[in-house]
Amino acid sequence: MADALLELRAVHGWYGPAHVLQGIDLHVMPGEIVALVGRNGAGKTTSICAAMGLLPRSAGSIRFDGVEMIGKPVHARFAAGLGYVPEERRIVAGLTVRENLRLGMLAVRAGAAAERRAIDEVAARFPRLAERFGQQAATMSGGEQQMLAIARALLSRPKMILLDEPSEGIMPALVDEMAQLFVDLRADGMTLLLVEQNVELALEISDRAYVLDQGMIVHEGTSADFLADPEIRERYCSV
Amino acid sequence: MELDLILAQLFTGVALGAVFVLMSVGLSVIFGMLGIVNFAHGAFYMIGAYVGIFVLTLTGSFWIALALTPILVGVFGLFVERILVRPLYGRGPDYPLLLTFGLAYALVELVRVVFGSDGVPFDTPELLAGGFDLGDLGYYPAYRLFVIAFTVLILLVLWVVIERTRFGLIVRAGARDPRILSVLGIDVARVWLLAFGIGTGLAALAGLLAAPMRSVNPEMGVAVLVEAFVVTVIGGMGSLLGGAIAGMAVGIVVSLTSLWMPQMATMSMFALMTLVLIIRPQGLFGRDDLAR
Repeated sequence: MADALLELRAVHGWYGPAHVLQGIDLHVMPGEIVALVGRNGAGKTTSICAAMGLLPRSAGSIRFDGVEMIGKPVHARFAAGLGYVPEERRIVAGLTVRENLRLGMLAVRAGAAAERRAIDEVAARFPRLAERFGQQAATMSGGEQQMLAIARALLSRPKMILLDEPSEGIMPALVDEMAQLFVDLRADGMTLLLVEQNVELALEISDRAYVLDQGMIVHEGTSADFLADPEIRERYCSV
Repeated sequence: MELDLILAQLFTGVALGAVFVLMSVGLSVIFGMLGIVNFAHGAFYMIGAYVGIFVLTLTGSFWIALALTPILVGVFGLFVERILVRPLYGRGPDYPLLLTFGLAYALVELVRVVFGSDGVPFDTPELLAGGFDLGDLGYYPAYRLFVIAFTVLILLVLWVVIERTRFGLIVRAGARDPRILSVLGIDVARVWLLAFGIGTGLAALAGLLAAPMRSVNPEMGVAVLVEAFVVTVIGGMGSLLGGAIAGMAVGIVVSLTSLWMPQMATMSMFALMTLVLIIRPQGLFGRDDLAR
Protein backbone atom coordinates (compact mmCIF):
# COMPACT_ATOMS: atom_id res chain seq x y z
CA MET A 1 0.00 0.00 0.00
CA ALA A 2 2.09 2.84 -1.26
CA ASP A 3 0.02 5.66 0.11
CA ALA A 4 -1.29 4.12 3.31
CA LEU A 5 -0.99 6.45 6.29
CA LEU A 6 -0.23 3.59 8.67
CA GLU A 7 1.07 0.25 7.55
CA LEU A 8 2.04 -2.70 9.74
CA ARG A 9 3.91 -5.47 7.98
CA ALA A 10 4.75 -8.80 9.66
CA VAL A 11 4.65 -7.17 13.07
CA HIS A 12 5.51 -9.38 16.01
CA GLY A 13 5.14 -8.28 19.59
CA TRP A 14 6.06 -9.68 22.99
CA TYR A 15 5.10 -9.02 26.59
CA GLY A 16 8.01 -10.61 28.42
CA PRO A 17 8.18 -14.21 27.19
CA ALA A 18 4.63 -14.10 25.74
CA HIS A 19 4.66 -13.89 21.96
CA VAL A 20 1.42 -11.92 21.61
CA LEU A 21 1.50 -10.64 18.02
CA GLN A 22 2.45 -13.28 15.48
CA GLY A 23 2.86 -11.41 12.24
CA ILE A 24 0.25 -8.68 11.85
CA ASP A 25 -0.31 -7.10 8.43
CA LEU A 26 -2.69 -4.19 8.25
CA HIS A 27 -2.95 -0.75 6.75
CA VAL A 28 -5.04 2.37 7.18
CA MET A 29 -5.59 4.81 4.31
CA PRO A 30 -5.82 8.55 4.95
CA GLY A 31 -9.36 9.57 5.94
CA GLU A 32 -10.46 6.04 6.82
CA ILE A 33 -11.95 4.63 9.99
CA VAL A 34 -10.59 1.11 10.40
CA ALA A 35 -11.77 -1.22 13.16
CA LEU A 36 -9.87 -4.03 14.87
CA VAL A 37 -12.26 -6.59 16.31
CA GLY A 38 -11.90 -9.98 17.91
CA ARG A 39 -12.16 -11.75 21.24
CA ASN A 40 -10.45 -10.71 24.44
CA GLY A 41 -6.77 -11.52 24.22
CA ALA A 42 -6.77 -11.69 20.41
CA GLY A 43 -4.09 -9.00 20.22
CA LYS A 44 -6.16 -5.92 19.32
CA THR A 45 -4.85 -3.64 22.03
CA THR A 46 -1.36 -5.03 21.60
CA SER A 47 -1.49 -4.16 17.90
CA ILE A 48 -2.13 -0.47 18.51
CA CYS A 49 0.35 -0.46 21.39
CA ALA A 50 2.92 -1.75 18.91
CA ALA A 51 2.03 1.05 16.50
CA MET A 52 2.42 3.65 19.27
CA GLY A 53 5.69 2.15 20.54
CA LEU A 54 4.32 1.04 23.89
CA LEU A 55 5.39 -2.61 23.67
CA PRO A 56 8.55 -3.64 25.47
CA ARG A 57 9.61 -5.61 22.39
CA SER A 58 8.35 -5.64 18.83
CA ALA A 59 9.68 -6.51 15.38
CA GLY A 60 8.67 -6.19 11.75
CA SER A 61 7.83 -2.96 9.95
CA ILE A 62 5.55 -0.17 11.11
CA ARG A 63 5.48 2.69 8.62
CA PHE A 64 3.62 5.87 9.46
CA ASP A 65 3.33 8.64 6.90
CA GLY A 66 6.17 7.05 4.94
CA VAL A 67 8.58 6.78 7.88
CA GLU A 68 9.69 3.58 9.62
CA MET A 69 8.65 3.71 13.28
CA ILE A 70 10.15 0.49 14.68
CA GLY A 71 12.85 1.46 17.14
CA LYS A 72 11.53 4.99 17.59
CA PRO A 73 10.43 6.04 21.09
CA VAL A 74 6.81 6.88 21.86
CA HIS A 75 7.30 10.65 21.90
CA ALA A 76 8.88 10.54 18.44
CA ARG A 77 5.82 8.73 17.08
CA PHE A 78 3.64 11.42 18.63
CA ALA A 79 5.79 14.06 16.94
CA ALA A 80 5.28 12.27 13.62
CA GLY A 81 1.51 12.80 14.03
CA LEU A 82 0.23 9.70 15.81
CA GLY A 83 -2.35 10.34 18.50
CA TYR A 84 -3.38 7.73 21.04
CA VAL A 85 -6.30 7.37 23.44
CA PRO A 86 -5.55 4.63 25.97
CA GLU A 87 -8.00 2.08 27.27
CA GLU A 88 -7.65 2.79 30.97
CA ARG A 89 -6.57 5.72 33.07
CA ARG A 90 -7.54 8.02 30.28
CA ILE A 91 -7.27 11.21 32.25
CA VAL A 92 -4.78 12.34 34.88
CA ALA A 93 -6.38 12.46 38.32
CA GLY A 94 -5.46 15.45 40.44
CA LEU A 95 -5.60 17.81 37.46
CA THR A 96 -8.55 19.88 36.31
CA VAL A 97 -10.26 19.40 32.96
CA ARG A 98 -8.39 22.38 31.51
CA GLU A 99 -5.05 21.12 32.83
CA ASN A 100 -5.74 17.72 31.30
CA LEU A 101 -6.40 19.43 27.98
CA ARG A 102 -3.21 21.46 28.32
CA LEU A 103 -1.31 18.17 28.56
CA GLY A 104 -2.29 17.59 24.94
CA MET A 105 -0.49 20.79 23.96
CA LEU A 106 2.69 20.25 26.00
CA ALA A 107 4.74 18.81 23.21
CA VAL A 108 3.50 21.34 20.68
CA ARG A 109 5.14 24.19 22.60
CA ALA A 110 2.65 26.79 21.45
CA GLY A 111 2.44 30.08 23.30
CA ALA A 112 -0.18 30.65 26.00
CA ALA A 113 -2.48 32.49 23.59
CA ALA A 114 -2.25 29.81 20.89
CA GLU A 115 -2.84 27.18 23.55
CA ARG A 116 -5.99 28.91 24.77
CA ARG A 117 -7.23 29.28 21.20
CA ALA A 118 -6.66 25.61 20.44
CA ILE A 119 -8.41 24.54 23.64
CA ASP A 120 -11.39 26.78 22.92
CA GLU A 121 -11.57 25.40 19.41
CA VAL A 122 -11.63 21.80 20.59
CA ALA A 123 -14.05 22.69 23.37
CA ALA A 124 -16.53 23.84 20.72
CA ARG A 125 -16.75 20.20 19.64
CA PHE A 126 -17.21 19.05 23.24
CA PRO A 127 -19.77 21.29 24.93
CA ARG A 128 -19.90 18.95 27.93
CA LEU A 129 -16.25 19.64 28.65
CA ALA A 130 -16.47 23.37 28.11
CA GLU A 131 -18.88 23.58 31.03
CA ARG A 132 -16.42 21.84 33.33
CA PHE A 133 -13.03 23.41 32.64
CA GLY A 134 -12.23 24.18 36.27
CA GLN A 135 -13.55 20.90 37.63
CA GLN A 136 -11.30 18.06 38.81
CA ALA A 137 -11.23 15.72 35.82
CA ALA A 138 -11.51 12.61 38.01
CA THR A 139 -14.94 13.70 39.26
CA MET A 140 -16.50 13.38 35.80
CA SER A 141 -18.33 10.30 34.55
CA GLY A 142 -16.50 7.63 32.58
CA GLY A 143 -17.96 8.87 29.31
CA GLU A 144 -17.01 12.46 29.98
CA GLN A 145 -13.49 11.37 30.87
CA GLN A 146 -13.32 9.50 27.59
CA MET A 147 -14.45 12.60 25.70
CA LEU A 148 -11.75 14.55 27.54
CA ALA A 149 -9.11 12.01 26.51
CA ILE A 150 -10.23 12.23 22.88
CA ALA A 151 -10.26 16.03 22.99
CA ARG A 152 -6.78 15.97 24.48
CA ALA A 153 -5.53 13.74 21.68
CA LEU A 154 -7.04 16.09 19.09
CA LEU A 155 -5.35 19.22 20.45
CA SER A 156 -1.98 18.61 18.86
CA ARG A 157 -3.69 18.15 15.46
CA PRO A 158 -2.44 14.61 14.85
CA LYS A 159 -2.69 13.01 11.42
CA MET A 160 -4.24 9.90 12.90
CA ILE A 161 -5.61 8.70 16.23
CA LEU A 162 -5.41 5.20 17.68
CA LEU A 163 -8.37 4.52 19.97
CA ASP A 164 -8.38 1.64 22.43
CA GLU A 165 -11.87 0.51 23.46
CA PRO A 166 -13.43 3.97 23.44
CA SER A 167 -16.95 2.72 24.23
CA GLU A 168 -15.96 0.56 27.19
CA GLY A 169 -17.80 1.38 30.40
CA ILE A 170 -19.69 4.28 28.90
CA MET A 171 -23.42 4.81 29.11
CA PRO A 172 -25.35 4.16 25.86
CA ALA A 173 -26.44 7.75 25.28
CA LEU A 174 -22.80 8.85 25.25
CA VAL A 175 -21.75 5.94 23.04
CA ASP A 176 -24.00 7.25 20.28
CA GLU A 177 -22.64 10.73 20.77
CA MET A 178 -19.12 9.37 20.48
CA ALA A 179 -19.91 7.35 17.35
CA GLN A 180 -21.24 10.54 15.76
CA LEU A 181 -18.07 12.33 16.82
CA PHE A 182 -15.90 9.76 15.02
CA VAL A 183 -17.98 10.08 11.87
CA ASP A 184 -17.71 13.89 12.07
CA LEU A 185 -13.95 13.66 12.56
CA ARG A 186 -13.64 11.49 9.47
CA ALA A 187 -15.68 14.04 7.52
CA ASP A 188 -13.07 16.61 8.57
CA GLY A 189 -10.30 14.42 7.16
CA MET A 190 -9.17 12.62 10.34
CA THR A 191 -7.95 9.02 10.17
CA LEU A 192 -8.89 6.61 12.96
CA LEU A 193 -7.84 3.12 13.96
CA LEU A 194 -10.33 1.76 16.41
CA VAL A 195 -10.14 -1.22 18.76
CA GLU A 196 -13.64 -2.18 19.90
CA GLN A 197 -15.40 -4.85 21.91
CA ASN A 198 -18.68 -3.43 20.69
CA VAL A 199 -18.50 -5.05 17.25
CA GLU A 200 -21.82 -3.71 15.95
CA LEU A 201 -20.83 -0.16 16.80
CA ALA A 202 -17.35 -0.56 15.32
CA LEU A 203 -18.66 -2.00 12.05
CA GLU A 204 -21.37 0.62 11.71
CA ILE A 205 -18.99 3.56 11.80
CA SER A 206 -15.89 2.07 10.18
CA ASP A 207 -15.00 1.72 6.50
CA ARG A 208 -12.99 -1.47 6.84
CA ALA A 209 -12.27 -3.96 9.58
CA TYR A 210 -9.74 -6.61 10.55
CA VAL A 211 -10.65 -9.62 12.67
CA LEU A 212 -7.88 -10.79 14.98
CA ASP A 213 -7.54 -14.18 16.60
CA GLN A 214 -4.59 -15.43 18.65
CA GLY A 215 -2.26 -12.67 17.53
CA MET A 216 -3.02 -13.04 13.83
CA ILE A 217 -5.37 -11.41 11.36
CA VAL A 218 -7.89 -14.02 10.27
CA HIS A 219 -10.25 -11.88 8.17
CA GLU A 220 -10.24 -8.52 6.55
CA GLY A 221 -12.75 -6.68 4.45
CA THR A 222 -15.17 -3.82 4.27
CA SER A 223 -17.27 -3.26 7.34
CA ALA A 224 -20.41 -3.51 5.21
CA ASP A 225 -19.43 -7.05 4.21
CA PHE A 226 -18.80 -8.03 7.82
CA LEU A 227 -22.15 -6.59 8.86
CA ALA A 228 -23.79 -8.77 6.21
CA ASP A 229 -21.98 -11.89 7.39
CA PRO A 230 -23.10 -12.81 10.90
CA GLU A 231 -21.18 -16.08 10.80
CA ILE A 232 -17.74 -14.47 11.02
CA ARG A 233 -18.91 -12.29 13.85
CA GLU A 234 -20.30 -15.32 15.61
CA ARG A 235 -17.09 -17.30 15.19
CA TYR A 236 -14.48 -14.70 16.15
CA CYS A 237 -16.18 -11.98 18.07
CA SER A 238 -18.64 -13.57 20.48
CA VAL A 239 -17.23 -13.64 23.97
CA MET B 1 11.35 26.76 82.31
CA GLU B 2 11.43 30.24 80.91
CA LEU B 3 9.30 31.19 77.98
CA ASP B 4 12.10 32.84 76.02
CA LEU B 5 14.17 29.67 76.18
CA ILE B 6 11.26 27.67 74.82
CA LEU B 7 10.68 30.20 72.06
CA ALA B 8 14.35 30.22 71.13
CA GLN B 9 14.28 26.45 70.92
CA LEU B 10 11.10 26.67 68.85
CA PHE B 11 12.88 28.90 66.34
CA THR B 12 15.82 26.54 66.30
CA GLY B 13 13.36 23.77 65.52
CA VAL B 14 11.94 25.75 62.61
CA ALA B 15 15.43 26.39 61.20
CA LEU B 16 16.25 22.69 61.56
CA GLY B 17 12.89 21.92 60.00
CA ALA B 18 13.74 24.13 57.02
CA VAL B 19 16.68 21.85 56.25
CA PHE B 20 14.43 18.79 56.56
CA VAL B 21 11.92 20.39 54.22
CA LEU B 22 14.49 20.95 51.46
CA MET B 23 15.71 17.38 51.87
CA SER B 24 12.26 15.86 51.83
CA VAL B 25 11.10 17.91 48.83
CA GLY B 26 14.03 16.53 46.83
CA LEU B 27 13.32 12.98 47.99
CA SER B 28 9.67 13.41 47.21
CA VAL B 29 10.27 14.78 43.70
CA ILE B 30 12.59 11.90 42.87
CA PHE B 31 10.25 9.29 44.33
CA GLY B 32 7.14 10.86 42.80
CA MET B 33 8.57 11.09 39.29
CA LEU B 34 11.03 8.22 39.02
CA GLY B 35 9.64 5.88 41.66
CA ILE B 36 13.09 5.65 43.20
CA VAL B 37 13.70 5.61 46.93
CA ASN B 38 16.94 7.55 46.80
CA PHE B 39 19.29 6.33 49.50
CA ALA B 40 22.07 8.54 48.14
CA HIS B 41 20.11 11.65 49.09
CA GLY B 42 22.01 12.03 52.39
CA ALA B 43 25.29 11.69 50.54
CA PHE B 44 24.28 14.46 48.13
CA TYR B 45 23.48 16.59 51.20
CA MET B 46 26.97 15.91 52.57
CA ILE B 47 28.55 16.58 49.16
CA GLY B 48 26.67 19.89 49.15
CA ALA B 49 28.35 20.96 52.39
CA TYR B 50 31.82 19.95 51.12
CA VAL B 51 31.35 21.56 47.71
CA GLY B 52 30.15 24.64 49.58
CA ILE B 53 33.35 24.70 51.63
CA PHE B 54 35.39 24.21 48.47
CA VAL B 55 33.72 27.09 46.64
CA LEU B 56 33.88 29.23 49.77
CA THR B 57 37.62 28.66 50.12
CA LEU B 58 38.13 29.35 46.45
CA THR B 59 36.08 32.53 46.20
CA GLY B 60 35.82 33.71 49.78
CA SER B 61 32.13 34.39 49.33
CA PHE B 62 29.33 32.49 51.06
CA TRP B 63 26.87 33.91 48.56
CA ILE B 64 28.73 32.56 45.55
CA ALA B 65 28.91 29.20 47.34
CA LEU B 66 25.17 29.38 47.99
CA ALA B 67 24.46 30.03 44.31
CA LEU B 68 26.97 27.57 42.82
CA THR B 69 26.70 24.57 45.13
CA PRO B 70 23.18 23.44 44.18
CA ILE B 71 24.04 23.87 40.50
CA LEU B 72 27.33 21.95 40.68
CA VAL B 73 25.87 19.09 42.72
CA GLY B 74 22.69 19.17 40.59
CA VAL B 75 24.82 18.65 37.48
CA PHE B 76 26.56 15.79 39.27
CA GLY B 77 23.07 14.38 39.93
CA LEU B 78 22.31 14.58 36.19
CA PHE B 79 25.34 12.40 35.47
CA VAL B 80 24.37 9.94 38.21
CA GLU B 81 20.89 9.57 36.73
CA ARG B 82 22.06 9.33 33.13
CA ILE B 83 24.96 6.94 33.67
CA LEU B 84 24.04 4.88 36.74
CA VAL B 85 20.28 5.00 37.35
CA ARG B 86 18.81 5.04 33.85
CA PRO B 87 20.05 1.59 32.80
CA LEU B 88 18.09 0.17 35.74
CA TYR B 89 14.63 1.48 34.76
CA GLY B 90 12.13 -1.25 34.08
CA ARG B 91 13.87 -3.73 36.36
CA GLY B 92 11.79 -3.14 39.44
CA PRO B 93 12.39 -0.81 42.37
CA ASP B 94 15.08 -2.94 44.09
CA TYR B 95 17.80 -2.18 41.58
CA PRO B 96 17.88 1.62 41.84
CA LEU B 97 17.42 1.33 45.60
CA LEU B 98 20.49 -0.89 45.92
CA LEU B 99 22.42 1.31 43.51
CA THR B 100 21.77 4.51 45.47
CA PHE B 101 22.48 2.66 48.71
CA GLY B 102 25.90 1.64 47.42
CA LEU B 103 26.52 5.02 45.84
CA ALA B 104 25.97 6.67 49.24
CA TYR B 105 28.71 4.50 50.78
CA ALA B 106 31.05 5.18 47.88
CA LEU B 107 30.57 8.94 48.12
CA VAL B 108 31.08 8.98 51.88
CA GLU B 109 34.31 7.00 51.52
CA LEU B 110 35.47 9.23 48.68
CA VAL B 111 35.01 12.33 50.81
CA ARG B 112 36.76 10.60 53.69
CA VAL B 113 39.76 9.88 51.45
CA VAL B 114 39.94 13.42 50.09
CA PHE B 115 39.02 15.53 53.13
CA GLY B 116 39.69 13.13 56.02
CA SER B 117 37.28 11.71 58.59
CA ASP B 118 37.42 14.69 60.91
CA GLY B 119 34.87 17.41 60.81
CA VAL B 120 35.60 20.53 58.83
CA PRO B 121 34.70 23.91 60.30
CA PHE B 122 32.21 25.99 58.38
CA ASP B 123 31.93 29.48 59.78
CA THR B 124 28.73 31.40 59.71
CA PRO B 125 29.02 34.02 56.95
CA GLU B 126 30.09 37.38 58.34
CA LEU B 127 26.98 39.23 57.31
CA LEU B 128 24.80 36.76 59.22
CA ALA B 129 27.15 36.13 62.13
CA GLY B 130 25.29 38.26 64.66
CA GLY B 131 21.89 37.87 66.13
CA PHE B 132 18.66 39.72 66.50
CA ASP B 133 17.45 41.02 69.79
CA LEU B 134 13.80 40.05 69.65
CA GLY B 135 12.93 41.98 72.82
CA ASP B 136 10.93 39.82 75.18
CA LEU B 137 11.39 36.83 72.91
CA GLY B 138 15.14 36.87 73.56
CA TYR B 139 18.12 36.80 71.29
CA TYR B 140 18.15 34.81 68.09
CA PRO B 141 21.02 34.00 65.67
CA ALA B 142 20.64 35.84 62.38
CA TYR B 143 21.87 32.87 60.36
CA ARG B 144 18.95 30.68 61.46
CA LEU B 145 16.47 33.36 60.52
CA PHE B 146 18.20 33.54 57.15
CA VAL B 147 17.90 29.78 56.68
CA ILE B 148 14.18 29.95 57.44
CA ALA B 149 13.59 32.91 55.12
CA PHE B 150 15.68 31.41 52.32
CA THR B 151 13.85 28.08 52.55
CA VAL B 152 10.50 29.86 52.39
CA LEU B 153 11.74 31.66 49.27
CA ILE B 154 12.86 28.39 47.64
CA LEU B 155 9.52 26.77 48.47
CA LEU B 156 7.65 29.71 46.95
CA VAL B 157 9.71 29.47 43.77
CA LEU B 158 9.11 25.71 43.63
CA TRP B 159 5.40 26.23 44.19
CA VAL B 160 5.15 28.77 41.36
CA VAL B 161 7.12 26.49 39.04
CA ILE B 162 4.97 23.46 39.87
CA GLU B 163 1.60 25.21 39.78
CA ARG B 164 2.11 27.82 37.08
CA THR B 165 4.57 26.60 34.46
CA ARG B 166 4.63 24.11 31.63
CA PHE B 167 7.38 22.14 33.34
CA GLY B 168 5.32 22.08 36.55
CA LEU B 169 2.34 20.63 34.69
CA ILE B 170 4.62 17.95 33.29
CA VAL B 171 5.88 17.17 36.78
CA ARG B 172 2.37 16.97 38.25
CA ALA B 173 1.09 14.76 35.46
CA GLY B 174 4.26 12.68 35.38
CA ALA B 175 4.06 11.90 39.06
CA ARG B 176 0.61 10.40 38.43
CA ASP B 177 1.00 8.78 35.06
CA PRO B 178 4.28 8.95 33.12
CA ARG B 179 2.85 6.81 30.29
CA ILE B 180 0.30 9.48 29.43
CA LEU B 181 3.09 12.02 29.09
CA SER B 182 4.94 9.86 26.60
CA VAL B 183 1.89 9.27 24.39
CA LEU B 184 1.33 13.04 24.46
CA GLY B 185 4.79 13.56 23.02
CA ILE B 186 6.91 14.24 26.09
CA ASP B 187 10.34 12.64 26.31
CA VAL B 188 9.80 11.23 29.79
CA ALA B 189 13.43 10.18 30.19
CA ARG B 190 14.47 13.83 29.91
CA VAL B 191 11.91 14.88 32.52
CA TRP B 192 13.19 12.21 34.91
CA LEU B 193 16.75 13.34 34.34
CA LEU B 194 15.80 16.91 35.24
CA ALA B 195 13.77 15.81 38.27
CA PHE B 196 16.74 13.86 39.60
CA GLY B 197 19.04 16.84 39.03
CA ILE B 198 16.67 19.22 40.81
CA GLY B 199 16.21 16.84 43.76
CA THR B 200 19.98 16.42 44.05
CA GLY B 201 20.53 20.17 43.88
CA LEU B 202 17.98 20.72 46.66
CA ALA B 203 19.77 18.16 48.85
CA ALA B 204 23.06 19.97 48.26
CA LEU B 205 21.43 23.28 49.14
CA ALA B 206 20.13 21.76 52.37
CA GLY B 207 23.61 20.46 53.19
CA LEU B 208 25.20 23.84 52.58
CA LEU B 209 22.58 25.68 54.64
CA ALA B 210 22.95 23.19 57.48
CA ALA B 211 26.75 23.36 57.47
CA PRO B 212 27.14 26.33 59.84
CA MET B 213 24.46 24.92 62.17
CA ARG B 214 25.49 21.27 62.28
CA SER B 215 28.99 19.88 61.97
CA VAL B 216 30.42 19.08 58.53
CA ASN B 217 31.81 15.54 58.31
CA PRO B 218 31.56 12.63 55.90
CA GLU B 219 28.75 11.00 57.90
CA MET B 220 26.60 14.12 58.24
CA GLY B 221 24.17 12.82 55.62
CA VAL B 222 23.36 9.58 57.40
CA ALA B 223 21.20 11.00 60.17
CA VAL B 224 19.55 13.61 57.98
CA LEU B 225 18.54 10.97 55.44
CA VAL B 226 16.54 9.18 58.13
CA GLU B 227 15.06 12.49 59.24
CA ALA B 228 14.13 13.37 55.66
CA PHE B 229 12.44 9.99 55.16
CA VAL B 230 10.44 10.53 58.33
CA VAL B 231 9.39 13.99 57.12
CA THR B 232 8.43 12.64 53.70
CA VAL B 233 6.35 9.86 55.23
CA ILE B 234 4.60 12.25 57.64
CA GLY B 235 3.93 14.88 54.97
CA GLY B 236 2.80 12.39 52.37
CA MET B 237 4.78 11.40 49.29
CA GLY B 238 4.53 13.88 46.47
CA SER B 239 3.09 16.78 48.44
CA LEU B 240 5.05 20.02 48.61
CA LEU B 241 2.79 21.49 51.27
CA GLY B 242 2.87 18.23 53.25
CA GLY B 243 6.66 18.18 53.15
CA ALA B 244 6.87 21.79 54.32
CA ILE B 245 4.49 21.32 57.25
CA ALA B 246 5.92 17.95 58.26
CA GLY B 247 9.49 19.30 58.06
CA MET B 248 8.65 22.14 60.39
CA ALA B 249 6.71 19.83 62.73
CA VAL B 250 9.59 17.34 62.97
CA GLY B 251 12.12 20.13 63.48
CA ILE B 252 10.07 21.64 66.28
CA VAL B 253 9.27 18.33 67.97
CA VAL B 254 12.93 17.22 67.91
CA SER B 255 14.10 20.60 69.08
CA LEU B 256 11.64 20.92 71.95
CA THR B 257 12.14 17.33 73.08
CA SER B 258 15.87 17.90 73.26
CA LEU B 259 15.19 20.80 75.58
CA TRP B 260 13.41 18.67 78.13
CA MET B 261 14.51 15.12 77.42
CA PRO B 262 17.59 15.19 75.17
CA GLN B 263 17.85 11.41 75.16
CA MET B 264 14.37 11.17 73.64
CA ALA B 265 14.95 13.68 70.83
CA THR B 266 15.45 11.17 68.03
CA MET B 267 12.72 8.93 69.29
CA SER B 268 10.19 11.77 69.38
CA MET B 269 10.37 12.08 65.62
CA PHE B 270 9.53 8.40 65.13
CA ALA B 271 6.75 8.68 67.69
CA LEU B 272 5.25 11.50 65.63
CA MET B 273 5.58 9.43 62.47
CA THR B 274 3.92 6.42 64.13
CA LEU B 275 1.06 8.59 65.31
CA VAL B 276 0.52 10.09 61.86
CA LEU B 277 0.69 6.68 60.18
CA ILE B 278 -1.96 5.29 62.52
CA ILE B 279 -4.34 8.15 61.78
CA ARG B 280 -3.47 8.81 58.12
CA PRO B 281 -1.46 6.01 56.48
CA GLN B 282 -0.91 8.10 53.34
CA GLY B 283 0.66 10.96 55.34
CA LEU B 284 -0.83 14.35 56.13
CA PHE B 285 -1.22 15.50 52.54
CA GLY B 286 -0.49 12.33 50.62
CA ARG B 287 -2.77 10.90 47.97
CA ASP B 288 -4.52 7.81 49.22
CA ASP B 289 -3.95 6.02 45.92
CA LEU B 290 -0.22 5.91 46.68
CA ALA B 291 -0.71 4.45 50.13
CA ARG B 292 -2.36 1.37 48.73
